[in-house]
Amino acid sequence: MAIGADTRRRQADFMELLAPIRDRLYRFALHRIRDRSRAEDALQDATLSAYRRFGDFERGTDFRAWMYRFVLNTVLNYNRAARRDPTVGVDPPALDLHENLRTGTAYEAVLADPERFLQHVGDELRAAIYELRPVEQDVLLLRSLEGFTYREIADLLAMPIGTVMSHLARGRAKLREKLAEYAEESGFVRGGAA
Amino acid sequence: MTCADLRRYLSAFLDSELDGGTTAEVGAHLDACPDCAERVEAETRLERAICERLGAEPVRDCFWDECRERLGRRGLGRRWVALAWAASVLVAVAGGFALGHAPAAGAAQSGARELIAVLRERGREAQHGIPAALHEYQAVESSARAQDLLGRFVGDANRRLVHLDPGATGHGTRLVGYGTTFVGGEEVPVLHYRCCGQDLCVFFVMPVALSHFPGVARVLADGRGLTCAACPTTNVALRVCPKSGTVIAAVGSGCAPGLAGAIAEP
Repeated sequence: MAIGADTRRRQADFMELLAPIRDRLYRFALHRIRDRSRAEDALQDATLSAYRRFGDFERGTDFRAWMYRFVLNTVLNYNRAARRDPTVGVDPPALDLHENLRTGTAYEAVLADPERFLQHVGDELRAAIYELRPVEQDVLLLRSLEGFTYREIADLLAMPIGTVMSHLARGRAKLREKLAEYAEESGFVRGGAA
Repeated sequence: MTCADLRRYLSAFLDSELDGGTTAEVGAHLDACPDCAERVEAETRLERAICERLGAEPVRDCFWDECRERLGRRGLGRRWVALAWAASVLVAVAGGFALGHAPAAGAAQSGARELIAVLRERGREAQHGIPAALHEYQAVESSARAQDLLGRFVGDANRRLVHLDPGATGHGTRLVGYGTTFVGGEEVPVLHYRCCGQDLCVFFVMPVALSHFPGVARVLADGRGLTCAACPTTNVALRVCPKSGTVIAAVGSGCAPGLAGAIAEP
């Protein structure tokens, strides 16, 4: 079936807007849906959904945020279908990055040389992120991967900025705790925590 | 500002999201407290390293090409689905399908052979890199689960599934593979759909009881003697004849138009 010139142009416009952000979308989906095959399915579905609604997109506005809405919704649906994202309650707010972190040799060793530690960690970083609550994963990845501001994240996730800050701090604290545990278990730290 | 106060602001400080006044207070504390200053510097390095690590995950080479082709092939997807519909009608007719009637075994087998021939022909037109032959087991990533389902369904080593270009079947539901398998010595066609991460394997002209369908997401019985499979997320329901195994209708919200096109109407 031949594709008309209008359709080709529309596709080209869409792909051109997508090009600068597409790999970060891929990584977002990959970090939120751990299985690569399902993550790709979700991202293809999200992309197709967005393309179908491309006529609604207002040129000159933030395509990145517009696109992420489709990805976030699709990832949510995929994870719910896989029973991966249960309905969660609300934790009490916590802003202390080190609230739950046991101080000690392990975390200090991580801080001393984070680049070397993360090379040592390998896939454990992804595993640690995957153990966070879904909303914490969303906030952490939107901030760390895409660099969205707190305001932009709040708009995307339809929550107050204060809640974004709480989830981000809590997610980072949990992540650091996991990394410290791994540093001990994997032998990155000799002799265990103090 | 105390050291404990600083810890509370640290996350937002790393993101440069503090207001001007608080940022100044943090700065003043860091100037006065070398321990906190050292800690903040280390946390900044860790945060930067995490961001870099997260952003270093490899993107599969062909993924966006496939995505672009899927956008561009939406028409072709519908054409394939229409072909499958035509084939399934042929099967249904050849199988003597009708509600309440058991298809004659010979006619059903004949219909299956017709569809197999159509699928093999389609296979030869498949995208470069997808094996055209149906004689090799292909552990394609998207069909690993389908293969497991097929294995549990038929308990037969002769299962073959070939990955097909994803058909544009609408919200959440799409054709992701097809192939054939053997039941009771007869080769029968299999279409593999995925709906919101759930795998639905639909067998055409199956001379076995529907209760042998472990791949169906949810099986319900209704008063008319039809059994239904439903995706729990989109509520797309497939009505499957328990006698022939043919999918005869798709109903419900989120019903994919392309899927409906692949389904034989009684």
